[in-house]
Amino acid sequence: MLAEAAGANQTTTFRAAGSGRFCELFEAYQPAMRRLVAAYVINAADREDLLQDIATGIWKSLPGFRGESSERTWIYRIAHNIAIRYAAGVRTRSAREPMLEDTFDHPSSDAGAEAALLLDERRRILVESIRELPPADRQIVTLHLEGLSAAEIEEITEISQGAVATRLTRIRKN
Amino acid sequence: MNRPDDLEQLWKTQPVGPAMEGEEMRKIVMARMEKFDRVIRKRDIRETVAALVVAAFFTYAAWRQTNALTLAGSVIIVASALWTIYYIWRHGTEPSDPNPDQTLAGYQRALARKYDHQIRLLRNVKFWYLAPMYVGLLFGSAGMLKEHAEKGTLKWQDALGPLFYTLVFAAVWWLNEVHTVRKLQRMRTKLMAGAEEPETSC
Repeated sequence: MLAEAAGANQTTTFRAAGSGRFCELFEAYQPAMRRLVAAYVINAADREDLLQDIATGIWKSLPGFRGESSERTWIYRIAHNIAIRYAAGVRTRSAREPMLEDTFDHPSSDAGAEAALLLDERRRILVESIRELPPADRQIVTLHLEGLSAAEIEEITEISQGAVATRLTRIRKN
Repeated sequence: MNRPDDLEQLWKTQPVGPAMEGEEMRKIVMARMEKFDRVIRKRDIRETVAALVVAAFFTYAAWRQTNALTLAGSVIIVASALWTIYYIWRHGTEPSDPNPDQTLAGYQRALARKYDHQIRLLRNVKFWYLAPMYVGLLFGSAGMLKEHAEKGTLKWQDALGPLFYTLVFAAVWWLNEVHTVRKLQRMRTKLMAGAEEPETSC
């Protein structure tokens, strides 16, 4: 009876601690996760849904996180795996949905507006090009763009640093 | 051409929408997990109740039957309804998703195994779910037709019942074995795209 009560107490303590840790991790990596989501799905509703799937994956995997890899690589690994699975199950609803920034205010001056439009266009091309890559390449490119080192990319993908560099060069050329 | 730093800058400055509080997301995650469990539980209960109703009805029918063929049909249907209940509670729960905390290749392989398992289950639906019940209904119908024939009251309308349930069973078979299996196969192919690509290691 006492052991059961102690067990229940430990579970409650873990859940409380886990909740706090989850919130911290989610808030810290939310911008990166949102960028990653945009590289996998077009539709805004799908993006939110995928973000929630990733958060669910992190929540479920959190008790098993033993710190054998860095927090950052662990999060990216979960996020990419879930995103790849999600994208495989989603039908393309619209070939070219407007980027999120289309709803944002742009500078009012002509030169500023033109520059902003140009930037939008370049971002759109970048994201669309990434979306067209096969899953493994997409993962490498997004991790690279997030600023992860070749060693960290190797830790996540188990693709050697040399192979990562080769792939990045090939992708850039294409 | 863009320099790598430019691309990184471009990538990191993309607008990503409004930020959400961690606590808010935690509540969403909890709600989603509870909803998923609830949906599975409700589905299992719904199918169990339906099978129990079928079993009860045909037990009553069997008890009142004097025709051997119809009696055999009712007994087969009752047995298959009880078997369905057992199967739902023994194997009906969704196999758990593979842990996403692994390499892409490992995760893809684990997911492919899960899809293969689901495809196998769906392909077996005809054996553990449809065929026994269908055979039971055929026996029942044969018994009734024989009875009508013996009394000389056999009409063409007597064929409507068997035709109707044959169409229903064919639709259920198509939905499981053709439609859903194809969907799973498409997902599997899409998921595995590029997975077997040979590594170009230096």
